[in-house]
Amino acid sequence: MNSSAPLNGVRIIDFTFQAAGAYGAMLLAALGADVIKVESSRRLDPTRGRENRPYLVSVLFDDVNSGKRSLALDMKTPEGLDIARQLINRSDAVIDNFRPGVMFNWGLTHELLSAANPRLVVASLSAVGGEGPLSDLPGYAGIFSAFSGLGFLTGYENGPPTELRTSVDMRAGAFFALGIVHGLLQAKLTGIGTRIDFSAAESITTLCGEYVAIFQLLGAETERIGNGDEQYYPHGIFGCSDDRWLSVAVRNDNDRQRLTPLLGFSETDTNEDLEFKLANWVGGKSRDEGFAELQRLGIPSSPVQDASDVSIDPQLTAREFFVEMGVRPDGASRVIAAAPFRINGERPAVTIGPPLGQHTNEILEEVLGLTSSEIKKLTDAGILA
Amino acid sequence: MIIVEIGGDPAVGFAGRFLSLLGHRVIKIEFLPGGDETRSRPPQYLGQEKDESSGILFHYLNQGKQSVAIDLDEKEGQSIVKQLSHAAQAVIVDATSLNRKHVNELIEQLGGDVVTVVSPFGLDGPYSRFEATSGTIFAISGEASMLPGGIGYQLNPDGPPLLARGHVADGDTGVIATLVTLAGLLHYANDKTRVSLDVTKQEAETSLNRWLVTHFRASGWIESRATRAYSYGGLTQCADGFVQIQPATDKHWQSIVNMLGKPKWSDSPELATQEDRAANGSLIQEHLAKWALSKSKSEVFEAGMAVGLPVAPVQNVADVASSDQYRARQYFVPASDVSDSPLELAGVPFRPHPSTQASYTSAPDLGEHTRQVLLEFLNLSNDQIRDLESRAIIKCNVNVVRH
Repeated sequence: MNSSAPLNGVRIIDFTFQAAGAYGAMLLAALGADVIKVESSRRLDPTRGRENRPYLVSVLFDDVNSGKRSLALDMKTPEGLDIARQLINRSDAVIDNFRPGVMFNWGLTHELLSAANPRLVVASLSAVGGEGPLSDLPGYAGIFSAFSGLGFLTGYENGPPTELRTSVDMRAGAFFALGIVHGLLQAKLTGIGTRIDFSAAESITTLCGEYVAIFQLLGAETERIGNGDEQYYPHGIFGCSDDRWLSVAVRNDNDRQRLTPLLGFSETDTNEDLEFKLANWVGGKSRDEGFAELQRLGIPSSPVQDASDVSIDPQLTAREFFVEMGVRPDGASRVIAAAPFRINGERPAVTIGPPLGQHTNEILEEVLGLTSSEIKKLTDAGILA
Repeated sequence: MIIVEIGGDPAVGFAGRFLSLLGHRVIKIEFLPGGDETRSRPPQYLGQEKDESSGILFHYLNQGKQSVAIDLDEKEGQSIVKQLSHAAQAVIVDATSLNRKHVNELIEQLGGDVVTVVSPFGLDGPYSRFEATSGTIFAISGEASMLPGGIGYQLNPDGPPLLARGHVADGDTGVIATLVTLAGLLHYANDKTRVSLDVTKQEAETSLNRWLVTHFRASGWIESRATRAYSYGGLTQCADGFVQIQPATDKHWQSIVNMLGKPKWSDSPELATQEDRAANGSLIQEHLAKWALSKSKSEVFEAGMAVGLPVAPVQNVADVASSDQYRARQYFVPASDVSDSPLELAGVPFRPHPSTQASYTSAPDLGEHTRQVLLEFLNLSNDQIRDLESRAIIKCNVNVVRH
């Protein structure tokens, strides 16, 4: 562990799985926390078995579990539960993204755990929060995206709403990590732990909260406008000569003046004229030519990149955002995305998600002080599987 | 804790808003003459007791903050910003607001136990001088290439890729900037070591789509608008809008069958297994779509919930604003002095217990707190402040009456 990492010395017991919670915990690991992911062979993180996997374990699992340690523990046994409680008592936070009720049934609530560990942060992520009339709503990204309002707001004019999926999981996960660190900081400052009841839907609404304010202040419902913008014009995604797409945002009169020699804008042009001229110009360029020329003029633009483009993006490559690393003895490798930040000029180190139970023995020895014979007994009894 | 927010980029604005809602005192440095760009963004609103109308986005992003207005082109203005940064525990700076020729030098001179620098692409690399907006960042980071999927694509396969509405990429970056700033503050509280953090919009956004690239590099698979669809379910039209139906398991299939009244067609051998249903999803969707179209979205939602089916209404903004779920959780926070009628803005998506005391005052007028902040932190006299104001190095707006 990097001793200069901000969360160095913070220990987190991590019951998250799938994408949202696991990504949040991954960000905490990248910030230096010792994140101990608890699973059992009876209930694996489903992303371990996700299809579309050329190697031994899932690509998504490897990516969003980077930097964590794995503890195999059967939580359906009293001994497993007891070990979990002991670990939590010696940790700074326990986090999960179960449906509301699972942690309660295990007795792993803030009320019960804080008696032994008053500074503990107990954080739970669910679709719409653990309280309220709809707290049972399942936590799929499409579900909380629909509930949040962003799905309604996004889409072609006169077209249907839009379903936002895995990226929305990640958005919720990043915000979840923020909430956990807020709790850790408050615990440090006040000596009192916190319970964080996190709603994924609310996290997405917060990102488009200006439209809730518009509705309240002006009484106006916001309709879909495709790739338009309330202020910038022209603004949108335009087809290029090589059948690819370029995103362009003309922000103000300064931008329009800079474009005039290139596009022939005139003072009598309507907004539609401006957009026609821009679309016509972009249509005569390849995507990368258009991108380069517009950026040379200081106009915000970008290629619409798909997975293959992003994987060789020059800026991300220069900043070493993707890391290729060996994953098998035969030399097979995998690309993992790094954390989206640098700390004191350095990118946090990347490791692939751990195999189930890879760190079980070392965690039990190091954190709970168990001897190898005690660990063997637990192993033989099937508790550490 | 005191946070100094420098510059007008919405990503930095989001970060300051989150920190303000979490109970920190956020001092926003705005640059003269006009201040934050989002003040002029439409739609506009003239608030109660306000001198000027301002953009609703500005109202939203700057709730609870204090505004200090300074001319950064003047040496004295730059000096004031540096001095204020030294009074703060954390500084969050929009790198694009600083003189690009001297950006690194200016950042190095900032104080604060934690300094978080936010930029579109980073201060190094081939795109470091490139311009960007929330939309162009969204496009370059992979997600637009997959939108719209499902029926959005089926109805308009020749349409362009789609951007998420509003300032989502700015908000995503604001989340990461807040996360690392809070982590830096915790680090400083533990061992008194200063931390500098570098956050880029491109990386914050690409990180959300990381699976796209890792899958591509592992398997060669390129997810696209055409491939982003369910065999059945997904976005489904009702009489008065849309619902999202997300069957993922055998149990969910049984839920659909029960919801539709166990119709005869559901017994077809073509739909016997999960694989069969994936292959013949259009058969299911035909019946499901017809059934849903005769119902309101709330009827479909209630029927689905009753049988354990993952389903949610696609809520418009009015639905969101009146959501019983959100209200039960006190998600909206008051901003009572913005308008005559009660106004509530979207809050943070978690309820900390015990709660953290946050400021719920509305967004400030330009320079509303300049005098107060300079008196408090720089020990300037009233005469010195008047002199700076007379030379337009600062702006003090003291005409605002808060309730």
